[in-house]
Parts: sequence; structure tokens; C-alpha cells
Amino acid sequence: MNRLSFRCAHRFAGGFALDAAFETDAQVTALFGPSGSGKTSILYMIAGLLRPREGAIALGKQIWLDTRRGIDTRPERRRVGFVLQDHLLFPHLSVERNLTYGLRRRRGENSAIEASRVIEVLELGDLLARYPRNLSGGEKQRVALGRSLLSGPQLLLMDEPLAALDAPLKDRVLSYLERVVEEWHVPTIYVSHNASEVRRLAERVIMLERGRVVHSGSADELLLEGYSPSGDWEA
Amino acid sequence: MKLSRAVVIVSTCCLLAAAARADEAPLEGQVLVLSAASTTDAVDALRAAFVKTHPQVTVDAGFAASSALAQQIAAGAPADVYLSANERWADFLDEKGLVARRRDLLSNRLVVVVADDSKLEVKRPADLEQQGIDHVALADPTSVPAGIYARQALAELGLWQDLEAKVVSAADVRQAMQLVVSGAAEAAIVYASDAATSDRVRVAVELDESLSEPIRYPVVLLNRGAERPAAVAFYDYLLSAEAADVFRRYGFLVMADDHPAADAVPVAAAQRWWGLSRDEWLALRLSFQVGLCAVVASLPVAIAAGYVLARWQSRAKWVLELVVNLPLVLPPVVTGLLLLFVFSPKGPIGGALAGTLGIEIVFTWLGAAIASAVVSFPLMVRAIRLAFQAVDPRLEMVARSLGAGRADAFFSVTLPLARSGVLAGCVLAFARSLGEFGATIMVAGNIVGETQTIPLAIFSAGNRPGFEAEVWRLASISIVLAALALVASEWLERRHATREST
Repeated sequence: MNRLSFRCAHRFAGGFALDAAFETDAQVTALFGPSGSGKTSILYMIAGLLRPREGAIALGKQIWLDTRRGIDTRPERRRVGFVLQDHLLFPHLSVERNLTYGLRRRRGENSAIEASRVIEVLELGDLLARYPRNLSGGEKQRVALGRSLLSGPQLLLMDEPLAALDAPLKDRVLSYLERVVEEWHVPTIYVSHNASEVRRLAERVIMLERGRVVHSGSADELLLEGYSPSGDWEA
Repeated sequence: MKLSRAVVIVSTCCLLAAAARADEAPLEGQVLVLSAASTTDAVDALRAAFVKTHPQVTVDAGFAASSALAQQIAAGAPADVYLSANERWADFLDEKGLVARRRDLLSNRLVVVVADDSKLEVKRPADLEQQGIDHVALADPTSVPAGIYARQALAELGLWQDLEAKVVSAADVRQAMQLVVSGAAEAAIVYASDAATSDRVRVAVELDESLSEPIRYPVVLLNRGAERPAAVAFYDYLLSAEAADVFRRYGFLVMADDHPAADAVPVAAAQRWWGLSRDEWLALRLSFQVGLCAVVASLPVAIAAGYVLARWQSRAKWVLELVVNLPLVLPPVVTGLLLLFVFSPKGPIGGALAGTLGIEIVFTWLGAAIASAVVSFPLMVRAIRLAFQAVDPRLEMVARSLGAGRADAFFSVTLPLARSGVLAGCVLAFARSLGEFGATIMVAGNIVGETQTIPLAIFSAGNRPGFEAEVWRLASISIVLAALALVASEWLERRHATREST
């Protein structure tokens, strides 16, 4: 598994300062912490959509960002799949065209991820002709996941993909996520502030508070340390 | 995609229109006459007669105050023949070295006119001082020949001091007379030839010729015209006996001609309310041609500006915002003046275009299109910017992370999602182009069939007595087109708001 190393510092216009560093080679790594702790900003930096004032990001031997050496790989070259809380499907395209958006833009990389298999695993076959506005919340999230996978990502970034769903739906989509991890082994960074989700998916947990890493370790040891295993962080 | 198809259709139309113009008028067959407003009807009749015997020639004419025309010619208007209402403005062009040949062609007398149904007793010039007369209309007495002569005559009579406060200054002599017809002024001093064209005014007093310097209409063959056989032929035709008859019919005295003027015939304007005259059709077609080309030309720039304004966070944004919005609040005449400076054959861009591609902008329909494009630009950008702001910027980010480059993401996600707003902006800009007047008249003049769009046609018809029906017909068309455009752009924006809300 490729090792992701991250070390960035940035000060936002609102005054919030982020200064975080971590490394991980786990299958699923959770960024865990209260809202406003900087989790989402870290994802944007990894994806190349937010450039930190200073820092370095690398996946294996690929250097994506090194501000000192002036390296900043463009987002479309980093090949990361980004799944956000509010799915962000392209409203003017059918489900099929959404799914193939990234597929059609693969740059000749070999990827084991095939369209037919993604459609099968995520059970998207019946949705292909529909438009995002006619999908339920859970369906949208599955399509968004499929769209990311079909771009042939080296890394999946998930920003609270379940937060907008109600409890029974959460459980179903979570099981789809598990299937994806099992099937394709794409390294995944999973942002959440829900302890039970993190426990179910992640091997490794990085805990953030006010823009800094306060702890990192295996999921079991960290979450048992004083945080309610089923409730949210705030609870 | 619908948008791109529309763009293709529109640009094809423009190309066809441009090609058609180039085909129907080989360069040597086109003559442009700029002529004093007081000669409008006579010159219109003459050019109609001329093209009947020379079917391969097109004669375009522009009418305004001699002073305005002379300055436009000096600024590079591509005119071949100039008919001035006084010698001074012909001298002015002579000094600039633009004159090939000239000859005094016509003379005229000044008359005091009052409305046909006026109850005022005006028997001699001094009667203008009476109480019932609060406004005396003259063409601008500082620059327009008719006004200058009138002022000289009144000064000679010792009346100028007392009457100066009553003087209403009009752009040209036709407008001065129109002020009497409309009741805005009780009396006007105009040429006998103008008075003869209208049955809505009557001549109250004829002013003695000796009161002002002699009123001479020199006809000028400009250097540009001297190189064109068709222009020389038309110049000679104006000096012919046949033309002299026509001029006399419209109330002029023909120089070096002993015969007294024949009885002037009032011109019967087309009074039909239905159907459009040839000139009106030309104005309508030209308005669409100009509007479409203006929209097509400014669309890419407006999309770029709208996108930058919607997405940029930089503090320098206000500079762009200022530049984009300036034409919205600037007097259109000022916009026109700046464009005239830039695009005239002596200006920085106009000179380069004329030198390299042989394209003339000033006083052509291209000039009208550029004026419309600049003036309607802020409206277009505004609509497009709002449309971009309504598109979630994170959609573009997702597209990037899925492998799309910056431009790819813009064209495959952001632009399609903003297409209703972009179309609404185009419709608005098109409607604004149809209404453009101030900048257009500066840059493109007011030439029938070449640059006379609907508003200019309304303006010209409004200055011609007896053309009320034409004015209202064109005005009605304008109102309908403007209303349709507003409804269309509103509908497009609303459609955008309801659809695709997920």
C-alpha cells in the first residue's frame, strides 16, 4: 500500500490556523474530530483544490505538493476520488453520464476498476437513465461513490459521506462502502465525527483539534479512550 | 448542447449578412452622399432617379446639419459627395485638403414660419417680438448655417438683442421647423425650401436676401469620391439640368440659372399605417443584423468577464467591475466619441484595421455593431455573472478531481449549468442593441440602408414634417420588440431557477 504523507501549514482569512502532519499506509484512515477542527481543509489540500501557505504532500514516490521546491501537481493529475457529504452530482447529466464523467477522462492509467463491476457492486443498474433530481439521498451517495471509483483513483477522499442520511440509510450505505473497500482496496481517507462509523470502517484514526493532530493510532485503542463508541463526538 | 447550436446559427447569419452585403455592392458601385438636412427630400428624390438609370450603383445618403457632417468627414467618414448649406464648412474641408472639386449649386432664402393654424399676426420680422411668441426656433445659431444666417438677419434688423432670450436652438433646420409643427415653438426661421415641404406650417414673412451673407449651397466632390467613377457621375448629375428641375421643385433657387423657382410642391409622405416602406424594412433588417453581430462578438468576452467577476476573490476585482459597468452609466454620446477616436481611420485601432485588412469601421454598419456591443456589454455581463454565481463552485472542484482540466471543467460543467442565464444575457443585450442611439450616431452616422437602425430612423422621421405615421409605426415596432425581449429573458431566468434545483 502506498504511504500518504502530509505536512501542511495554512492560515485562513477568518483567522483559523491549520498546522498538521501525519503519515498513513492503512487501507482506511479516519480523520476524526469536532467540526471546525480542519478535517475538510486537509482533504481539499490533498485533492489539490486548496493550496496551503507551506507544506508538502506525497503519495508513495509521487510528490504532489512541495511549496519549498515549487511543486504543485494539478488536481486532475493527482487522481483522487472525492466524495462529499452533499454528493455534488452534476445536475445536468444523467446518472450514466455522471458515472462516466471521470471514466472518459482517465489518462491511460491502468485501473482494475471496471464500470460493469462498479454498477454491480453498488447496484446502480436501474438508475442509469435517471437524473440526480429524481434520486433519493442514499441513491445519490451511491452514484457519487461510483463516479469517484470510475475515475480510477489512487486515493479516495470521503468527507462525511453519510452525514446527510438518516440512520437506517446510513447503515445501508456504510455496507456499500465496506464492499468497495473489500473489492478494490483503494486507500481511503475518511472524514467523520461519528465514532461508530469510524470504528466500523477505519483501521487507523488521526484525531484533530483546532487545526492540530492531537493523537493518532489504531481505531480500537483510540476510540476506547473516553469517547462514547456509538455517539457523536459532541454527544 | 443548445447554446452552442444557437451560437453557430447566429454566427452563420452574421457571416451570410456580411457576405451578402459584399456581393451586392462592389466597391466602385457604392456612393455615399452626406448632405445638409434642408436638402433631405430633394436629394432623396435625386438619388432615386439616379439609380434608376444606373442600376449597378447604390447611392447611400446621410442627412444632418452641415457642420456635423463636415466634422464627421474630417474625422474620416467614407463620404464621396458633400452638399453643404454654406460655404464655410466646404472651406473647412478644403483647408484640410479633402476636396477634389466644388461648385456653388443652390441658393435659398430665409423665411419666418408659423403653424398652419396659428392665429398670430406676423407680417414683418419685428412682429416676432409680440407677446404671444415665447419661443423662436432656429437651427443652432453658433454652428449650423441656417442658424448663422438667421442670426445675421436678425442682427441686421436690430432684433437679435431682444429676441435672443426667445431663441430655441435646434440641431438642424428640419428640427427647428418640427418644433413649430409640434407646438413647442410659435415661430421658426427656416429656409424657404424647407417651408415648402410641409403643409403644416405657413410662411409668414420672407426675409430679404441682403440681410445675411448670401446663402449658397456648394456641392463638393471629395478626394475619395474623385477616385470612384460612380461618385463622379453622381456629382455631375447633381449639376445637370435634370437635377436643377428637381431642386426647383423642392423650393431651391438653382445658381447660374435665370428661371424663377417653379411652384414648390409639398412632399406627401407615406401616410399608410399598414405595411413598411423600403427604408423602414432596411432599418429593421439592419437593426437585427447589428444586434446579432454585437451579441455574437461580445459573448465570449462577456462570458470571460462574468466568470471572473463571479469567481475571483481578488481585491483588484473592482477595477474590472468599473470597466465593465462604465458604459452603463456613461452618456452614450461619450462612449461614441471614444469609439470614434479609437476606430477612425486615424485612430489607433481603426488605422491598423484600415491599413492591414482594409476594413472601415466608422460610418459603416460594423461601427454600429461595435457601438451596440460596447453599450450592451454591461447588461450581458450582469446576467451571465449572476448565472455563474448560482453554480456551486464545488461542482467544478469535483470535476477537477475526476480528471478534468480547468477549461474542460468549465465547458463541461459550469457553462452548461449557467446556459439559461447566458441566453438571458444575450437576449437582453440584443434588445439593448435594438435601442442603441447615442453611440451609434457618433460612430456610424445616420445613413439610410447602411447605418440607419430603427432608433435613428425614428429620429430622422421625427424631424420630417408629415412623417408622423412612420414615426409611430417604427415606435410601435420598438415597443413590441423590447417587451418580447424582456419577457424572453425573464422566462429564461425563471426556467433556470426552477429546473436543476436538487
